[in-house]
Amino acid sequence: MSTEASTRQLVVFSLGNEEYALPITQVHEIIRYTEPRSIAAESGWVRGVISLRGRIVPVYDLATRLGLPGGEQASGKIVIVETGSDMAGIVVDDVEEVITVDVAQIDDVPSSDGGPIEAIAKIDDRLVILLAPERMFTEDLAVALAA
Amino acid sequence: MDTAEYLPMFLAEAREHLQELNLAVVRVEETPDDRETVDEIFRAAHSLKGMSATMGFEAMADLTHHMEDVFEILRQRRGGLDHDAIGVLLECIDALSGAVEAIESDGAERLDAAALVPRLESLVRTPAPEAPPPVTVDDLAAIAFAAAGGRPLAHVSVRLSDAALMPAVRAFMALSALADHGELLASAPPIDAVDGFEGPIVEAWLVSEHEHEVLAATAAQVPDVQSVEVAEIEPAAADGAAGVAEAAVEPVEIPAAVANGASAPQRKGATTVRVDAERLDQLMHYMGELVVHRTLVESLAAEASVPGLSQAMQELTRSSQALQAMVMQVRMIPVDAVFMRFPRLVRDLSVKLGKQVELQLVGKDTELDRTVVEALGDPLVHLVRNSLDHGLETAEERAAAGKPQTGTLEISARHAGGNVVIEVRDDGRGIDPAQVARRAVERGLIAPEVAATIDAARAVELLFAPGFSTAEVTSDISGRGVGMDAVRTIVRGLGGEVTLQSEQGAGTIAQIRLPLTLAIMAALLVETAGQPYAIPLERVERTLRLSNHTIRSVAGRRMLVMDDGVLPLLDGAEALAAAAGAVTARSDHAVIVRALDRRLALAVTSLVGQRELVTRPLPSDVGDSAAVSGGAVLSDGRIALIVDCDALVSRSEAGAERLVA
Repeated sequence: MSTEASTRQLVVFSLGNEEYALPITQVHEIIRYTEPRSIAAESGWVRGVISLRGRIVPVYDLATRLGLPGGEQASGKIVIVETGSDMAGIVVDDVEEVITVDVAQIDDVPSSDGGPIEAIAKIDDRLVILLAPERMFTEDLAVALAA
Repeated sequence: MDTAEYLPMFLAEAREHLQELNLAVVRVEETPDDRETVDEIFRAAHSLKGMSATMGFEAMADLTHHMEDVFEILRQRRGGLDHDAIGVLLECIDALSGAVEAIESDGAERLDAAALVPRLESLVRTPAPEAPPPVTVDDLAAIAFAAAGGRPLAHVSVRLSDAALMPAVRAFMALSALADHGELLASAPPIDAVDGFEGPIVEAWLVSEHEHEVLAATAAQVPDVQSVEVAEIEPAAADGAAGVAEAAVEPVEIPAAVANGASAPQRKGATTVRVDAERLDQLMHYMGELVVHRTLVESLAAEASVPGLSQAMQELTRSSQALQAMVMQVRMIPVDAVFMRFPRLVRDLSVKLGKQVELQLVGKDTELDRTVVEALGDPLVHLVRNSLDHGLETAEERAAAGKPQTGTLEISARHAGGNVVIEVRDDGRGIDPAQVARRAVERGLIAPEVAATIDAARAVELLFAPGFSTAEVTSDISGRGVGMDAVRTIVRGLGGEVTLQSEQGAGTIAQIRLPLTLAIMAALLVETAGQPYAIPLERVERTLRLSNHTIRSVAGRRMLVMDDGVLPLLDGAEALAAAAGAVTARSDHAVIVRALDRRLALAVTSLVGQRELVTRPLPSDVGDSAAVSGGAVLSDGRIALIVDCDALVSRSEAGAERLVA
């Protein structure tokens, strides 16, 4: 195995007092918050849609998805992630940095099978929660979690 | 040899040949003595065999080889193949298609021909003819000369590139191309036995009215051909065997770049190019962005006062519109792409059901956007199955009803304004309202006491109800849990409508009406609840000011009273934003929209104007609860949601039933 395989590059962003991260390979870009066009949706965490260079992209509220309080106020940034062939925006407070972590520092989260949280990275005294973009906003899993 | 890089080409060509075989085999059952079809079968089978062998897919090559032995019967005796033989051949084609799919998915050839080969062999009563003794070039020249009977004879010598992957196939293609331009009298290798030919020289003798240059160019068009020489055999000089007049040799060198190219572009008459479908989608996508940006620039330019800007803007608009029209044109493909599957499907089903059916395909050349054509496949298959299973009767029933024993199924496509109309029409028993009512009662869709009141129109509506199926016997043909409601869902998803008309005892017509393209739509832009919405222009009947009309309340629902009738009036904010009561915006205007043969009025805050919109699908997990079917980015960057008029009507009716109940 090469050294590349033993480290991962993560985009770290803040949400409330917590730190979350996404693999850099799945972050398409980061844009300033623009109020999404509201849209009638079944799920509470759908903020609406925005236009990204002519494309209509859904914007999700990560705080609501994770059950955190205060997800309703207009936040700072929208992280555009690539989920398979689609793109989606995730509302976060701020984007902090891009870090390279050793896989040894990343622990899988056993209790969250299928949930949006993939793993937790321990960096010094920080805990960074690593999210799985493709599992973050699927309806059926939300149901499974609620059950 | 590493053939991996040729795999995509192999897969694409193999599928084409299998599709050709499918069509030709079904056709040959109907017209066994059609020489052209027989030749087509041989051509396709042969190419397939050669390609498979070259790529190392031995099982495919072997099965195709055995099929060829059966096809040989077509050549040898009139009257063609019997029904069972055609059935076996079609099974073989299916097995080969399966193998192609398997190769695509994981590169491994999974073809179990063990059961098929003995069946094929049993069909071939006479053993395959012995290979003829080898003939020399001189013999061939002599044979050709004798056959020419004094007509001018051309000797064509084609050299294949050493890198040619499938020399036998290329030789066959070259010989076929030449045969199209004259009478092929002799060749090495023989056109009907190119197997094992390893190149590089293909020799042919033919009588042709065409100039030598034409013959040379014809052969040179075949991929992997390096050079072509054409010589005339003078009648006088041909006293013996090698009567080639050297002076008349006209070598044609093909530029190396062309000969070496992987997919050698055709040197002359390159009329078609194969393009990856995904690239077409991308092209459309970028075209859409260009249109969005153009409208933005247009609106900015309207505010600026720069000399010559408006002129330049007009030029830009004109060329961008021309480009747009061209991109749309490129994406159009004949509806035949979806019709092609029906001869085979209808044959299989009619055999299974024991019915006699004549299939007619009308308007195969009608062009439609690629995405529409692809999405049409499933609904059409369902309609055809319905017709065969439920509509058309057995020969005995038909005879008893005084109809011709063979039923007719017509699938047609035609343009009608900005729409394409596709019909599946049968001359079967039609829809029996009583039977539909009975089934609807069984399914709990209607109360038993209203069953007697079900007329033809209501019966058709019931057919579209979810979970409805009228099959007397649960068959594996159409009784599979999806019904007309599934068809309607798909067609509506494409922005179209599906309707059924039926006359009992005379037949049923299912009609699918679709927009020509899904990507760009003319729409009326309105605002309600502070947000822009787009209503497809073809659904808009007219607009009016609410203050000029009376609004009455009927059973708790608002109704708009107009001179020509009373229409339900829906509040835009409530119906579209699904924000019931949240926003009570003043609605000054109403848009009368048509949907599902009905009309309704939609109250909106303001009318913005008519726009050409590039429609975009909405993310799949949003917008389910509102009557919207897509989105479009406006010139100011805002997003307009596209109103789904059919869903509006359904909501309005669902509301009415709740109130009545």
